[in-house]
Order: sequence, then structure tokens, then C-alpha cells
Amino acid sequence: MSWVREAFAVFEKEVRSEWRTRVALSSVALFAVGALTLIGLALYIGQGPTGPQTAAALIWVLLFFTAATGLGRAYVIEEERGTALALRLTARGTTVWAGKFAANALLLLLLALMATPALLSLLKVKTANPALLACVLMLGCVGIAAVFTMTSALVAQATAKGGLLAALSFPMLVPLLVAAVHGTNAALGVGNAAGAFAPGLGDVQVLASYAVIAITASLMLIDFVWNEG
Amino acid sequence: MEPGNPRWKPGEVALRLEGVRKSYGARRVLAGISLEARGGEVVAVVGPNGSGKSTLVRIVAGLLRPSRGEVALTVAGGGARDAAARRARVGYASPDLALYSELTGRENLEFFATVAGKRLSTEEAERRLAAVGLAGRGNDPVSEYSSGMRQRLRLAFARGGGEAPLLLLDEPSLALDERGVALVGALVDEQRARGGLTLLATNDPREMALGDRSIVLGS
Repeated sequence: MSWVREAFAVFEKEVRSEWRTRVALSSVALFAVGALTLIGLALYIGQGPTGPQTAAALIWVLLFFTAATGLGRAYVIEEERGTALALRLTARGTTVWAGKFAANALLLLLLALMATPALLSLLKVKTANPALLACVLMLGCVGIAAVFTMTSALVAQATAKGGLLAALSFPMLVPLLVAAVHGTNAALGVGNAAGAFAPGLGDVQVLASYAVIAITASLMLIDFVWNEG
Repeated sequence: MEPGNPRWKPGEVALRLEGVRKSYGARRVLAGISLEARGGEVVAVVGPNGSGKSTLVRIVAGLLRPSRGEVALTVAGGGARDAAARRARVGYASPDLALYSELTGRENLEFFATVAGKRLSTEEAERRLAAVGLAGRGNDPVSEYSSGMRQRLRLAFARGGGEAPLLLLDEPSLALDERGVALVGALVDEQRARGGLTLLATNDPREMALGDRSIVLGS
């Protein structure tokens, strides 16, 4: 119970700090709005029809790069501001990770909740199975948040943080992104005109397993990263 | 700051450093530091800039791994050789330690107490702030604090509820006015009265005077 209370305190602090400073929020929002505007402009100039497959790819391009922009700073900012010392002195590595992961997942889910309908309506793509799309988005966001939170801890004390973050995260996220794009295709009706859940079930299972493995591995390894000095 | 009742009996708190070395690549910062100190003592760590005072304090705190050597903190018969166990038993203040500027002073104390597995009421947080001269400023964001007030908040963070058997103070009077300097003296006296041990890294003659003995680095 104490572990949950400590992790929740970190989550609460992350949300409160973000609400007051809006560092990640503004960079994530700026990137998302910028990307949506560019996609809209490209479609307006091109005037061509856009298929659901393009929409599925664009959703995950948007979520991946927005996550790389905003979520990767979770631990980096603690090192840069000097607050990592006080945190390291008082908190357990696993509770810090869990609190930061929960805050990152919340931010990415909120972005997905707002950006996906906007993108789909911009591309005039209909959703064949909204429940499948919600499952794929939720599990994909959780997996991405877990990986970016862990890699943020890994690169926090490195010199070339930005480059390292993307270089470490992308290979780890390839299996998740393959399942996420495939599942989103199914939810948008690609090869699934009836809008059934079954064609995307395998992808949902892969995404759920990936999220569980990413969270478990992070909780097992974070102490080695956090306590290293 | 009122000296509290003794928390530890003589000899219950002991710190032993044996051949502690720290190198960054080819550059050696600490070359085999050994020390034995007991509860109730105040040990000043002195030396010129770059002599490794802050590094030594960080190693003792469990925030930095020594290249060689051993650090052992014993409290009432229970040993704490590994860094994580030591971190839970020290109060630490250093110019390198920052608290969250977007949170208030009170929120900072409450947050760090909670993640350390303790419960801190608002009243107790206010009392701790008042003890370092920050009464009435607990609800202000730390970003609005002066550097002296931030240093006082660091002292409140280090002091906690007076439960740390080992107090590690790295240049504690930095940016403090005369009353603040007196506060450092009171904090050290309080720790001594409780039977706890204090390690004080400093070059300030006023702080050196608080020590019962000194170890000189870089000599």
C-alpha cells in the first residue's frame, strides 16, 4: 500500500508540475497542431482521396513523434534542474518510474483522444470499429509511454540526450508500431468491411503483451539505472 | 530550533570510512580517505576548491559510488553498508540539490516526505518551515524564493523531522544572512543533542568552528 501511495505522490507531482509549467504539454500540443495543420494543407493542395491505410500510418507517426518530443524529458528534466538528487535520496526507483510512466501515459492518451478524431475527420476516414480503435490506441499509448519513460531514465545523464532517446526507443518500439498500425487498419475497415473485432484481436493481444512486458521489465531494471552513480 | 531529546544513545550511531577513493577517468579526486566518527560528533571536512569535499559527502550519502573503499553507517547495531540503506538514514543539504521551483515550499516538504514513505501533516510541514525561518512563506512557489530562502528550504529538507542519524551539510551557510548562519549552528547543535552525527563540508571559518574536529582534503 505504501508503494502505491509513494508512486501516486510522484504521479500527482508530475501532473501538478506539468499543469503549472506546461513544458511537455506545450511541446506536445505544438507538435500535434503543427502536424495536423501540415497534413490538412497537404490534402487541400493535393485534393486526392486518402485511404484508411494512410490514416492509420499518420495516427502512429503523430503519436510516436509527439511522444519523442514530450515524454522523453521525464527524467532528463530532473537531472537538468538538479532535483534528481533530492528525489534519488528520498524515493524508490520503482515508485518514481511508476509515477512518471502514469503521467506520461495520461498525457499521450489525452493527445490520442483529441488528435485521432481530428485526424480522421480531416482525412474523411470513417471508423469501422470504434471499440477496436480505442483498444489499439489505449494499449499502444501505454506501451509507448512505458518505453519512452524507461529510455528517458537511461539517457538522463548522457550528453547527447535527444539523439540517444530516439535511437534507443525506435528499435524497441518497432514490434508495437507494427501491431498498432495493423490493428488500426482493421479498426478503420481495411480488409474488415464488416467492422468486426476479430481481425484486430491478434494485434490487441500483441499490444497488451508488449505493454505488460515493457512495464515489468522497466520495474525490474529501473533500480540499476536509478541508483547508478 | 530547539534541541530535541536524545534519540540515540552514545555509540549507537557510527560512521566508518575505509580507504575511500574516487577517480573520474585518470583524474583522482579522493585518494584513500579513512575516518571513524560517532554520534554526537561534528566533523568538518575542509580543503581547497576541487579537493573532493562535496564528492566525499555524496559518497557518504549513497548518491555516488566510490571507485574503491568502503563506507559503513551503523545505527543502533544495524549496519547500512549499501548505498540505498544509507540514503534512507541521512539528511542532506548541498548547493547542488534543487527543490521543485514550481511547487510551494510546503508542497516540496510534503512530497519528499511522502515518497520517502512518511506521512507529513500540513501543520508539521508549517512547523518545519517555521524552524528554518520560512514561517508564512510555505504557500509561495519556490520560484519566488530568494537564494537565501531556497537555502533555508534545503536545510528544512535535510533536517526533516530530526530522524536522520547522519546529517550531511555541504556549504550550509551559502547565501544565508547572519540569522541564517545562526540557524545552521542551531541545526548542528540540535543534531548533536539528539546523539546524531554531522559531517560538514566547508571552507567557511564560521562553519569550521562548529566542528569538533576536521579532516583536511587535498593536503
